[in-house]
Amino acid sequence: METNTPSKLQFHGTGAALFGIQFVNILLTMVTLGLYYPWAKAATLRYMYQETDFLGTRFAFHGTGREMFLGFIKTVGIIIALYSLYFVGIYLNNISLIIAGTVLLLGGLLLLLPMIIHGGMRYRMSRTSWRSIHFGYRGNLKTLMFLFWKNVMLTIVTIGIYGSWMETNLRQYIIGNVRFGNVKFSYEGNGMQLFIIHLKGIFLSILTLGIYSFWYTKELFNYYIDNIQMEQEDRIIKLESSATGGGFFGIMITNIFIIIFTLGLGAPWATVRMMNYILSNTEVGEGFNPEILLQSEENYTNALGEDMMDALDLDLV
Amino acid sequence: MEFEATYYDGKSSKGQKAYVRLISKELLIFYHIGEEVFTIHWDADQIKKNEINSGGVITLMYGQFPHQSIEVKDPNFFKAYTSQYKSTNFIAKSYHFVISKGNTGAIVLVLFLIAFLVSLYFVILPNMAEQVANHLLSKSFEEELGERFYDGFVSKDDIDSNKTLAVNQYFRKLNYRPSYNIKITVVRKDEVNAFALPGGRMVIFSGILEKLSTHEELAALIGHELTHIEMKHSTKSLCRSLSSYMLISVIMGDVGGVSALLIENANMLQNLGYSRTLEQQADENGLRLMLENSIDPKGMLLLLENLKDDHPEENNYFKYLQTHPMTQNRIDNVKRILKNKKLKTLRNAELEALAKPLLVSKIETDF
Repeated sequence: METNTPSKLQFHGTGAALFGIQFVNILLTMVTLGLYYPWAKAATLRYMYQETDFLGTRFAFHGTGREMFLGFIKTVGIIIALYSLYFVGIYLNNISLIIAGTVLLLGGLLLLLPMIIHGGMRYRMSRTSWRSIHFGYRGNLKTLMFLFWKNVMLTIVTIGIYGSWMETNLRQYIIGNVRFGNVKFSYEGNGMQLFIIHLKGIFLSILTLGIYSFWYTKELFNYYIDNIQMEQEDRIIKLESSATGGGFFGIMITNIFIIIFTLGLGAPWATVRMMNYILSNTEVGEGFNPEILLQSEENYTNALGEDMMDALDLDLV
Repeated sequence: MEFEATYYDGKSSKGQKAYVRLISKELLIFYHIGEEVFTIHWDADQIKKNEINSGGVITLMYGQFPHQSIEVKDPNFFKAYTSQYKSTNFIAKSYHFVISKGNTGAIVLVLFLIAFLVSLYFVILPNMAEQVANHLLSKSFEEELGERFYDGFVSKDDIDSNKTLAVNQYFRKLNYRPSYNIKITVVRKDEVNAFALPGGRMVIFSGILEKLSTHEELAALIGHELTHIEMKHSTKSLCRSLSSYMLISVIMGDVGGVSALLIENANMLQNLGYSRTLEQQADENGLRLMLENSIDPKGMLLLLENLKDDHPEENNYFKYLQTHPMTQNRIDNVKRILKNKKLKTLRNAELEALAKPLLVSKIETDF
């Protein structure tokens, strides 16, 4: 049966529970001198997913600490390798070595980034499910690499102006390769519209001494969400956001106060409030049939990309 | 026990209305399509573990990819399930214990955390730092620290080599039996002050010498500074500030701004309180050295009175905010100690003679 009204996402998590999880996480991470980190991350993600509700069913995160630990170890190795020349240069106080090290570091990251995105998406999507149906990412690494470098070059050449087009092209490719069982995702945004949002956002934020930045956040968020579509059988189902600038303003300002006045201890409550706001303002348009999804994606358990994204503080979703 | 559930077979998202029965080592799922009844057996050991039960809907997942799953909304299910299959460790105990108490649990944890951090900051770390300074840092390390500071700052000052020589001779005659190699330097500077560096260096400004008229005052001053060195006061202070600074930067991480400022100020208050204790210790031990060597301890009182004249009595409100304890408090403290002591002091002509070139003659200053 297809839905004939939009269906909202809902978040049921509480600050108290998230605080408890992070408390245990930090304690165990400290006791194990950091080795527990992948398990801590798995616990947090599992909690956040299982508290996210769509049509009465919770999402599930299947990633495990063990999978992410393997990626974690490799990530540490890669990061050390990338930084090695740079640090040797600093240690020997040799300028040309420092420059060579910086080139290796930046060049290496640029080279690795598409691989990291590719691996991260494959892992994260494969580890996400709803009603036992897994998501998946079917992108091709070579295609993404060429797309990525071509767009990076154009962005550099145009001193950043092409950035909006780059972002759109990457989003189109990445989201276009996301599957939810036999449901196909796509991204409809275009570079010009995004460029105008950025231009207007930056300009007005400066002019209003930052106050407009909340509306800028809203514009961006809504633009990203509203341009995501799902294709089920022959129906197009749109994602829609009802977030407002005032809403973002209220949540973000109070969150800042919560964090400052609790010396950071209130951060989990702030996170939960933000999740609540974002998810309850995201809805799946009419026409979605939750009964006919078929399992179609393969299992993927290599967490290297996920861990590298974490190490570089990248967030795609 | 039977519970209502929705069953997903892992092939499609079509949920089947089902009943779940918990029997030993097995979980049975019944559902029907049309007239046909299906029974699914789940081996309790193969059910996926979950770190956290968040209440509301319980989702269980089973087997290899693609997993089957059931959703149960019955609030009694979790308890029945975990008590039926105790050995499966479905829930991670550490997380469950912490978050099962809800808001009360979070508040208790927050309070516990605050209490822990406060005691870490005010009791545990300072004591650890002191232990490190006392037992782990060698004398040679302290000496190096002191020399670095001396080379960096004092050696560039205007050193009075005659008085430096005289004061060292005087010190050797004092018989204070130091365990460090004490080197005293007199610097030409009007400031009424003297200080001790870790490892044995002592610096006296000519400004304070010009205030002294008896050798007992000089003996008191040297006794005071010697105590700072012998009791490793600077080294301890350094370790304490370092450790609390590290704690702050670890905690503050990326919170920054306002809270960092708050803590920075708390840090200053704590250090000031500590330096008061150290000054008192130095006065008391300096006094003890004088008594042991039969030097008139009134020298300490005279010395402090001199200091007091130089820092005209400060506002009482700021008693807790001064780098140095209020001199009057120190004087009172010394008087209190001396009150119960039987004084047996001797004039020491040798010391008097050695100190003479360093002191101001009373008659001259009275001009």
